[in-house]
Amino acid sequence: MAETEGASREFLLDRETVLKGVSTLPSLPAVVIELLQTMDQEEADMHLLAEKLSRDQALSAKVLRVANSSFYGMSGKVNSIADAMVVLGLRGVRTLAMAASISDTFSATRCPGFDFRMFWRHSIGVALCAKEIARQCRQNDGNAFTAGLLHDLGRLVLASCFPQHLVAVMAYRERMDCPWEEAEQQVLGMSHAELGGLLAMHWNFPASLHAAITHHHDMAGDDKVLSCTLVIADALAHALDLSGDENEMVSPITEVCWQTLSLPDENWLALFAIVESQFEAACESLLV
Amino acid sequence: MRDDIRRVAIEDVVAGARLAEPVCDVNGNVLLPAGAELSDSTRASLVRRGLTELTIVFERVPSEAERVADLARVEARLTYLFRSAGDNAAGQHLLRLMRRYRGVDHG
Repeated sequence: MAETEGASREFLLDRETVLKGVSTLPSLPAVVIELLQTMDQEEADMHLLAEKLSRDQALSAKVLRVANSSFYGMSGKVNSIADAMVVLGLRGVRTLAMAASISDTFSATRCPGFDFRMFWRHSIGVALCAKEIARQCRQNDGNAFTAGLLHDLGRLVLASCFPQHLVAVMAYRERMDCPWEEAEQQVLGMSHAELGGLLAMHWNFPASLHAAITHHHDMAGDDKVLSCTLVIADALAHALDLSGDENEMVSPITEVCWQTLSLPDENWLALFAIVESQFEAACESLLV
Repeated sequence: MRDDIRRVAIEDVVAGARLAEPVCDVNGNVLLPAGAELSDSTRASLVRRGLTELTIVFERVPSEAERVADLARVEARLTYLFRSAGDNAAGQHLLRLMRRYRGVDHG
């Protein structure tokens, strides 16, 4: 990579270094990996999964707390993981278990200048936008929500394993007032999407989720509709100004992506209103 | 511009009023979230639960000057948010939709 304005070669990353870094992160609980694998399966044994998840008391308690929050409108009615499977379905329980585990994995991370709350608010915004786009396009809205929630996993890898690199990216972005992807390419020589993809591979995520995380900016994955859903959901979350970041910036979107989803204007306007009406309750539920 | 928020006796709350705070039961479970619009039936069910007062939002009607200033602020924020979105048709279409959604579409 040619040295460019304001970026030194000091913080360049390569695949091998990133893999070494992510190998230091704790593994996700086996039951969460098993739950995630069901994203690519036609059928899953919900009773067996509920029983396995119930054995992890700390994780079960977190799932039940969120399941009973105002976002799901089930206050006090979900008393067990088996209840949660019935009320929220496998997709809902899977999302909650995964969100709780990942948030635990990175809870001890300290990176100067990296605002975790803002990070998760953006991810929740993208998840809600992706879910609503998927509904409008008659795609799997549960998988779209999960992919949206995890699309920026690579930023957490940076904050946790390479904090000095992330500080350099943030400084470059502030100086150049450019999109994150551009700052990452200039400073690291790779994007957070690639970094997130490497962690998804290390954690043995299902192929569809791995591809969605890796290709949420370049649309090179096999599932074009999901890739486009994430690209547009990301732009919408920025455009709706959800994260609370004063320096919020809408990333460029391609014509191909916009045309792939091809929704009428009235549907987009309705979607904005739905996302805004659900957003604060979702944050209250999912952010501890 | 801020709306007024006041405690109101439940018998004086009319249908369509908007809650400023969530209504919880004695165990802290949320019965209705902040922002919920009350109907006659939800108000009646809260009366049956023994509630006597609710915290209601009273929307203040802005002056013309406040309205113009507010629209200018929204327009400026949208311009800032879209500063790197590019000038292709898709990016411009999304910006037009956001302007319409935020009520600053000038046609």
